[in-house]
Formats: sequence, C-alpha cells, structure tokens
Amino acid sequence: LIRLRPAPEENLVATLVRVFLVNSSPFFGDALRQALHGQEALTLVGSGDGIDDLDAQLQAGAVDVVLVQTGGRAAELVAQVRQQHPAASIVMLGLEDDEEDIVRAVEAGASGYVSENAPLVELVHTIGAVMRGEARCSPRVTAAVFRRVWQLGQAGASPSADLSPLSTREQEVLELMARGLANKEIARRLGIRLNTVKNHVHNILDKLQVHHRRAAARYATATGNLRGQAAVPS
Amino acid sequence: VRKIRVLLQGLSPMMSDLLAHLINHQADMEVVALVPGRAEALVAVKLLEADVVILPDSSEMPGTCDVLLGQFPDLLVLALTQQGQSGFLYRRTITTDMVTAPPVENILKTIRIAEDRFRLAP
Repeated sequence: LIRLRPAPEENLVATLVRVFLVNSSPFFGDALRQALHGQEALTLVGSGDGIDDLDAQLQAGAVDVVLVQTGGRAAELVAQVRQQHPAASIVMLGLEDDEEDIVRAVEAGASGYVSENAPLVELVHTIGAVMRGEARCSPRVTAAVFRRVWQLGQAGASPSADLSPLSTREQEVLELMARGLANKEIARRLGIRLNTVKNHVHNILDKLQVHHRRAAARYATATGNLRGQAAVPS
Repeated sequence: VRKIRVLLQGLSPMMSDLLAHLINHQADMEVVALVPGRAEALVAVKLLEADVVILPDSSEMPGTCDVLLGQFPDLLVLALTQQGQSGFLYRRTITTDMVTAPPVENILKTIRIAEDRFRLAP
C-alpha cells in the first residue's frame, strides 16, 4: 500500500558520465540536476530546450551522453545530433510513452530508451549500458523496434539499403575511404584520376548527407557496407 | 522540529523519485509516502499526518481534490502537469493559485505554505 523508495545512491557506472539533457522542461532539468548532484556515476552538465549549447559542448568533447526527452520534435533533434556528431551517444527519456515516437527516434539514431514509468535508477543503468556499447530499453519498446525491423524487411529493405543510392563505383570509393585511404591513394588503387575521385567523394557526402569523409566512413562501417573488409580505425 | 510531511500520489516512478529526492534534500520537509491512488491517499494522509499531497494534473484530479479537502480541510493539494512545468495549488479556505516558473523553487515555496499553518496553529 505505502511504498517508500530509497534514493538511488549506488555507484552503477565506472566513471563519471557527463550528460546533456535536451527538449526538456525547466522543472525536469533542475530536478534531475539536483537528484544527480553529489553522486559519482552521472553528472548533468547542461539542459535546455534546443541544441545550440549542446552543439558547442559536443564539439569541445565535454559531453558523453545526450539525453533527449520524448514529445514534440524529439526525433528531429535526435537526427540533428546524430548527423552533426555521428559518435554521440543518444538516450531517449520518455515522459510520454508514445511507441511511434520512440521507434522514430531509434531510426534517427538513439541508442537507448528510459520510460518515465521506470525509477530514476533505471536512467543510470541505461546510460551505463550505452557507455558500454549496449542498448537498454523496456520489453515493450523492444517489441516495437522488432516490429519496425520486420516491417522494413517486408518492404524489401536490406541492412545496406540506406546506401543503395550509391553507384558501384561510389561504394568502392567509400570502402577505401572507410579504410582511411587518401584521395590520391584511392585514385591509384582504382586506376582513375584524382579529380574523378574528388567528384565521387563529393557525391557520396551529398547522398549520405554528411559533412566530412570520416562521418561517411563511420556510416559505411555502421551499415555493414564494407563487403567483408575490416575498416581501419581512424 | 517537525518537518512538513509530503505525500506523493499517482505520479510516475521517475517523477516520484525526482520529487522525493528534491524534497528530502530540504531541511524542513520530507516525503512520508508514495501511494498509487485516491483511496490509499485518504488512508495515508490520516495515518501519516501528511500536510501536503502532490498529484498529477489529470482528469481525476478535481474529484480527488474535493474528497481530500472535504476530509482534511487543512491539507494543501498541489497538482503538477506532466513534466512539472506548472501546477495548481488547492486549499480549502483560499482560492486556487497557479504555480509558475522557475518551477523547482516555486514548488518548494508552495510546499512551505503548509509550514505557516502548523507553526501558527495554537
């Protein structure tokens, strides 16, 4: 009948993780900052409505995890962060449990989801999991994501379908880019002119909607488009 | 020194944890219980001598508010919106107030209204 919950004091993440909260109400940001204060797993380094502050902090390497509250333009914000900072870890925080919204955010690049119906300690667990390269979310959200993958499968999409706009030659260039080769070297390997390679690279960045070759390479690695070749870490 | 005794009713676990953390960190107030619904709230307010009840601003809220204030006229009932951006304070003797930003300070300030009551009581 009456349940008293202890404050989550356990140290569940090995190192201090710097979290930035976006798309949030001032109350939630303030309350979360105070709840995490003095605790050694997570610290809230910033919060706000949009991503202007976040952008600079990500650029400076001052943020480990971006926490995005669901609702409104959440999926749009996730996509924006993911596109500008391909390496950023993004976790969704669901104040409204809308599965559609969550699946859209996962498609946009979110790595984890915490519901408002979970206790605060679950947020710490989820962020810890994402930092270890794992995804953590409720079984209900997992089911929604599975359904979405099935739908995509039915629609005839393959895991590399996102790269289908690339021509065979562009895929070859991307593959060499992902292995860390410079344009000059790519030209030599494929037996084409340097300017042709530059054109291909330009088109690849354009089609993948990324701003630099490292992002394109990471994208190729993530979508398994390297045709069995191991990517050389950049 | 008697602290202000706060009851949280029907709030999501995440919101309950955040509010409990916030309130329990203040020197002059404490969360005495988390309860799921109206029936439990009625029992807990009496049993634990709660001064304040915080609940979500839902469609059931006006009814719950009437029942609580009907039985416990000195109680303060604070109804918060989903993300806690704003809320409403219900009191038996005074009209409803809108609680606005900055929210954390305002919510704490609102809870402290209860203290004036038992401090002034003979």
